[in-house]
Amino acid sequence: MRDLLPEEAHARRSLGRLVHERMALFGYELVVPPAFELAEVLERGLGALDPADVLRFVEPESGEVAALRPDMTPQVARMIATRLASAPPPFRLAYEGTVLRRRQQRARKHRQIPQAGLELVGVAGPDGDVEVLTVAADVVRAAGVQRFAVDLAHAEIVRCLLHPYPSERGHELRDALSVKDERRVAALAEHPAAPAEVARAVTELPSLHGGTEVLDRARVLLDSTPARAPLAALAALVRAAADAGLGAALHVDVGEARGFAYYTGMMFHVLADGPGEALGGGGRYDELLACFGASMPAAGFALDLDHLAWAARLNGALEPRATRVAVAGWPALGVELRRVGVPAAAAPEDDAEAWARASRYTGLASPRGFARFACGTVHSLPPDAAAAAASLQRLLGEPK
Amino acid sequence: MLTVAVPKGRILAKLGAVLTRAGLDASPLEKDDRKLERATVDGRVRYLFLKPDDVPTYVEYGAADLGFSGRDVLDERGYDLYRPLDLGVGRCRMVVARPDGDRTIPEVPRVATKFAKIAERHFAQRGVQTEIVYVGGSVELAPLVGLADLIVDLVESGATLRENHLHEVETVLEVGTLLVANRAAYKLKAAEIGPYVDALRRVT
Repeated sequence: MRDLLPEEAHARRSLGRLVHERMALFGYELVVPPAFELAEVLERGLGALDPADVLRFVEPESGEVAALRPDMTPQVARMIATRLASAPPPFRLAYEGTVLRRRQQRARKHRQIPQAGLELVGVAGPDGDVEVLTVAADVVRAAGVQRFAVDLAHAEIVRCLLHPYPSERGHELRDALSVKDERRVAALAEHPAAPAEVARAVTELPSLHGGTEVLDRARVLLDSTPARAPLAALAALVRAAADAGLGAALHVDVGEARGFAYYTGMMFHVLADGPGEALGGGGRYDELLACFGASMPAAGFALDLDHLAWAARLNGALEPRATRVAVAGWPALGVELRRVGVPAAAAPEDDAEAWARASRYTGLASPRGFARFACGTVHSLPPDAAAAAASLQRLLGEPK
Repeated sequence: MLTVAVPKGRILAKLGAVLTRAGLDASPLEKDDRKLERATVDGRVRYLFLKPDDVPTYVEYGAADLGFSGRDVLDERGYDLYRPLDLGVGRCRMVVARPDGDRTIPEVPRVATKFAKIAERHFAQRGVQTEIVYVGGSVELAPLVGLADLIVDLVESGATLRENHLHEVETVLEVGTLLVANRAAYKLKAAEIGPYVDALRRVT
């Protein structure tokens, strides 16, 4: 848990607004799900999350078990299946808010994650996939992150390849694949139930990632396995995404095993220097809506706004600073400034300038003039409050 | 530049030998100074010298791209990392051991260990209830003074067990030193990480 002090809160708000504006350009409308939800609803669509990572409590009025949302996708799915059931698909919904997770075992223990994301419901296959990828890349670029990678995978590849193994062995293989433990994967892949070409393909999975050229190597390896079809789907998606302008950012991970129990098609992560983990990610989950009684194809993604801001800083994106004027000994000027949309607050009588500087005001206005801190300049102001406000508004270029 | 976290201590010399065999410049590992951060001459790789338990933390946060860490530490604390290679060094076993002689082990034994989570999982899988007692070291002492009935600890030759009148009951985990990688860096810096990992893969 942590506080955001004014400057950080302002930067977060601006980033959230920017992300939403970009999503709105693609037609995504904001919805606001509640902070907690019946555990039973959330657990229908927990996805890749460990049930142990969910914070639960008993809701005193109903006596039901409620959970602090670890993810907003199940909530949006519930909204679509119930509240919007009579509206025609496709649905394009965006959300922003805090999700909560227990992460006891990790080095990173952050529990509260500021998240923004979207759901595209009712558009199947590559068209929907490319739209989701395009919006994700657009948002990341707009936030000021120029250097990033979109790591693409397909859930059916690992699912098909692990299918012949008995369930216990399958789980062990999935765990080993998800940490790309080459030796362990090789040791587990040999099994009487698995055809030789499947075992050979599984053994190679941990190293089948990188640039799009990996697809050629994968095609040879997976050709005679049931994973041939999903690999072709992944290759087609890579081509479509490249046509949509994502070419330079595309990476492929044929052996991605995280979340394959939840996703039914493409999966992706957005990676950039900085936070040391993905900025966010998403994929296609065509079976999720059926859990809420409205069977429809769906895809989406979510970004961690803290991570996005971190990566943007490293890319040299400037954090927005709010323009605010401290007013000393001139209440009428404050009134006039607010009338024209310039934030203004009264400074204390003693040490007005020191206070205004410490509180990060843009400058201090008084009958003696306006001292702008960043430039160290003093501008004289007309004695009439309305005229002074107009002059300051021009000077500060606010509102835009 | 690639940042690699290495554990200070007894495993370091063995790691240096592996790097040399792989054709990588191991000279920063062989230098005997107190600097905690040393780069190779060509400036391509920077090594961070850390307490073994801290290596995965640096890598998970992305402060280091790669690291060398024991399977025991990784499994006990559950880091979110890739673990592509087993380097074949630092091999030992994590075992359950009991005192010699005919002392009876109670239905719900007390188990002293530094690896509380691994031990708990191990006994739970066998349907054995236990009371796990966390101790930071000198685990062999615990059964001798009545703190515990069993211990779960790492053994190499078994000499320490024998000296303290203990013997192995079963193996919990085969331990070795793994190459671990930050999940984002493994993809983002593939151009730098790839050749480094390939070189090590050829000799392991």
